[in-house]
Amino acid sequence: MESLDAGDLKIDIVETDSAYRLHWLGMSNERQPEKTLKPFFATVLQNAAAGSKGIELHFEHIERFNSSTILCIIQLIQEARHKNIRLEVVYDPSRKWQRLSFDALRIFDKADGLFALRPMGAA
Amino acid sequence: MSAALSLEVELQPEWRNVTRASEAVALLVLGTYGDDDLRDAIAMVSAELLENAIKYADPQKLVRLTIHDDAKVITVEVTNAVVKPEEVLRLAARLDWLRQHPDPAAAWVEALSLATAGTSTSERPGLGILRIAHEGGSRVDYNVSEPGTLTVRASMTKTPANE
Repeated sequence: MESLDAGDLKIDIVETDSAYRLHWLGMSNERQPEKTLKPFFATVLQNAAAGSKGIELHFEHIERFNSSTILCIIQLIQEARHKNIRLEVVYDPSRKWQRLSFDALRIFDKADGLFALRPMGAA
Repeated sequence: MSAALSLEVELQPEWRNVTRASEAVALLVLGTYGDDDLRDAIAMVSAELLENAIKYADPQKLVRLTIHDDAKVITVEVTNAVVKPEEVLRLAARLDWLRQHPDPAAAWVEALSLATAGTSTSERPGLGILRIAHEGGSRVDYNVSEPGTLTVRASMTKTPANE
């Protein structure tokens, strides 16, 4: 599976025994980020399902993203849940904007254990 | 020594100018206040306001970004020529929806829920304005100063760290 390199955004993929780690870098600032992200996420979901792996979204080093990107991320969270794929979001709580943006995603943390929010540095 | 940022710039309404302007703002805020969180907040607010303006603005007219700082409040304003008057009504409806909540954080959480609940696009509150209120810690309002000219304003109260 190839990393994504689109404009100011790069998403590197690292495959481990248990998960695909997606490291977000740069900025997601496209007018319609779903045009790039949706097909990329579809491939990641397909591979994760085929390999019985989870997905980790690492935002610790991203500079910023726009609100249209947030919509894409929460749609990915929902799709992963529908496919029974565990998804974890990792962020940097020392950056105020990340703390405010990502803390709200706790609403997707359900009893099924398929979604987790992990501040960087937490076990 | 207290520093205060004052900026007024007119931009071509092109999408790539959102990032150019918000990056410039980020550098200026950091240079003025030396505060990373304030840099991120004002750059995000500028970008979201410019995105909204450029999506709906008259493509033949410039978009104006203004930032000013008085003793207590930093204000980011974006002014654009409106093509469709219903866009102003839509903005007013979004702000009304925001103010129905006890605070911007509650509105933000509900908006995220609605975004994934199969709600149609027209029924979803716009995330951009809510993000400005929640993540940007800003009060958002607007005015139509002359026929067809919309100004959207985000005002954030200064904290001891950046006064």
